[in-house]
Amino acid sequence: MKEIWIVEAEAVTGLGDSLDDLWTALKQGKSSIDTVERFDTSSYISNYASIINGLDLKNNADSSRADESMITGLLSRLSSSINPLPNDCAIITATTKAGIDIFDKRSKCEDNSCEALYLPGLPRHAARQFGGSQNGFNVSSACASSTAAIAICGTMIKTSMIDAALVVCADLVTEFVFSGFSSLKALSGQPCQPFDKARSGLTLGEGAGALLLMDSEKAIEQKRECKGVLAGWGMASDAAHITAPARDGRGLLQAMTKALEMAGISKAEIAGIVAHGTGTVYNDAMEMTAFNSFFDNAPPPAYSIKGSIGHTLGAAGGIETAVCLKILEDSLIPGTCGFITPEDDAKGLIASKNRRINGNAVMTTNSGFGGTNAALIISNNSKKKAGK
Amino acid sequence: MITAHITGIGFVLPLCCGMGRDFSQTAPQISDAQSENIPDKRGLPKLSPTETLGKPHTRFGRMDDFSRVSLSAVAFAIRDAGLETREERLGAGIFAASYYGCLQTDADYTLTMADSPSPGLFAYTLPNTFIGEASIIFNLTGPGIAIQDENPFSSIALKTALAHMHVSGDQAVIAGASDIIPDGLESNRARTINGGLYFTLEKNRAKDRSYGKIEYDGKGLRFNNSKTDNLSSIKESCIKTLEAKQK
Repeated sequence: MKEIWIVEAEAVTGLGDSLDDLWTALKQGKSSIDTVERFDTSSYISNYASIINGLDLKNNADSSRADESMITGLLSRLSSSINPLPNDCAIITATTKAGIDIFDKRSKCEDNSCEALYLPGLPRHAARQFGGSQNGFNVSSACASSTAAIAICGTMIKTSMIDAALVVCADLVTEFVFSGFSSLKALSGQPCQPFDKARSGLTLGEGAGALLLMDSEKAIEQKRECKGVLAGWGMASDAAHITAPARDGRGLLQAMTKALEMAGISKAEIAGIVAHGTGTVYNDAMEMTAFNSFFDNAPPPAYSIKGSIGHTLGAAGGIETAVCLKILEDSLIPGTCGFITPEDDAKGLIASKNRRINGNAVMTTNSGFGGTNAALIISNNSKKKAGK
Repeated sequence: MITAHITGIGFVLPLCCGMGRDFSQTAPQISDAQSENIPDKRGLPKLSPTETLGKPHTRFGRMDDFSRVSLSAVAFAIRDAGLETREERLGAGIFAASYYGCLQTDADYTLTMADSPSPGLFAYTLPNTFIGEASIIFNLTGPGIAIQDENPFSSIALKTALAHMHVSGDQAVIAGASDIIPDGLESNRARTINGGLYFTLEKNRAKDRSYGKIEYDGKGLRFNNSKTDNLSSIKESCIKTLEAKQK
């Protein structure tokens, strides 16, 4: 059976331009959530988000770039620390809205100059930035987009469609998205508080992640280092509601069950959970229900990154998977920023302080609009001979 | 080799819509529609929930065009396979390719932002929202994946769906493509077409329900032992197989 290695992982978030920066900040309990100055938020229910410094182009000295999407700069920063890709590496991207900031500048797209707006343009753009095949595609599954993209790349490697894929995920904080979540009353008036009793909504964030997945045999041949194993994945739909999760967590339960079956391990071997944990009342309640049910009321320590970098939408799963690698490397799960007073179901599950974990596998989950759910199991226990 | 049976076809194309088993020979082929002679207007048939979904649906009229067209084509494929009447939906998921997806909806939502952003419209600014609608209507609990590709009506959704069935063990998947070309984007329309074309794929099904066997070797697709690489040609082959069976 093929084993799938993650041999490169990077992230650009409000907490820095690298995964190492992010991990250091997470362990220190830092948050990049602040008031938004990118656009006027006075008519919205929140003015908080996690913004990446220096992405805005409106003050750029080169006026010809003023009409570009910020996604260009975001991918450029992300690509700077990724090692050369293998030949014929597929580029699979994940985003919910790609360069939708172009619509914040004009209300329609009249010609071919708006490549960043077209979701198939993102893999093309990423291929130029990172190198790699021009024949990639974008995966969109709402806030589970990059989790689903990783699962699809895993599937493509297992079936020998490809033997290496770079998953590139990115989403921006734009007025388009901000106004939409505000209109849905989904934004928190304060920085979000995942799994807290007083949570009142999510805080948007922007970010990007890149993960290079390889067939272990090819990775060994190329002397690539195994940073983690994509041991299992599962995807499922709630079939319940378009914008709200199924309260019983049925879709997430099914996704976690499939992931565990594929990984071929027991529930007890999952040492930690990187939850979706958006900070909305219904999402977090659904997840607590699902985790308690799945782990027979004894779930391992769980964590949400959203209090630190906001909800990065389609990029969330990719960034969180990269964080899983760090969790396994340090045997430590960070404290959840913004979490103060636990819900009854969250007692012992979530903590505000860093916790030690003991084990070789963690689970990361995401859910989103359309009732979509995805779960990945990341392990550091390769059965194959390690690379360099 | 990954194999599955095609057991349902659903389509909403310029001037026609329906299921494979009701196929009208007047329906244009996708390859024709992609030519320079495509009409400027979308030319898609008017869709009603009772006709497409087989039952009334309160949100159908409020959906954006992309979701309505895509959902209708998926619904026809499900109904053509007889999947909607079965107790167990086999945990089917949906793999849907597009080029523009809901870009027109994005533009329409943007127009509401100045006065009062529409939450109803915002919910449809994701290309997977219609998949959620279909999963609710037909109780489909498999993955809901929207893929954006340069050539959505090629075989990308089918290949990805077949690979998923093989690895996950899922018994059924609905896969295909749909698109709505946004207003004013004349220069890009050669990449895709207005409309939707979806197939129901099942691992095991009685032969009398199967249009034929689709195979995937990790590189290319074969339908009934012939190489193929676009949805239109597969649909045409399915119809021919059906007609031959009926003679």
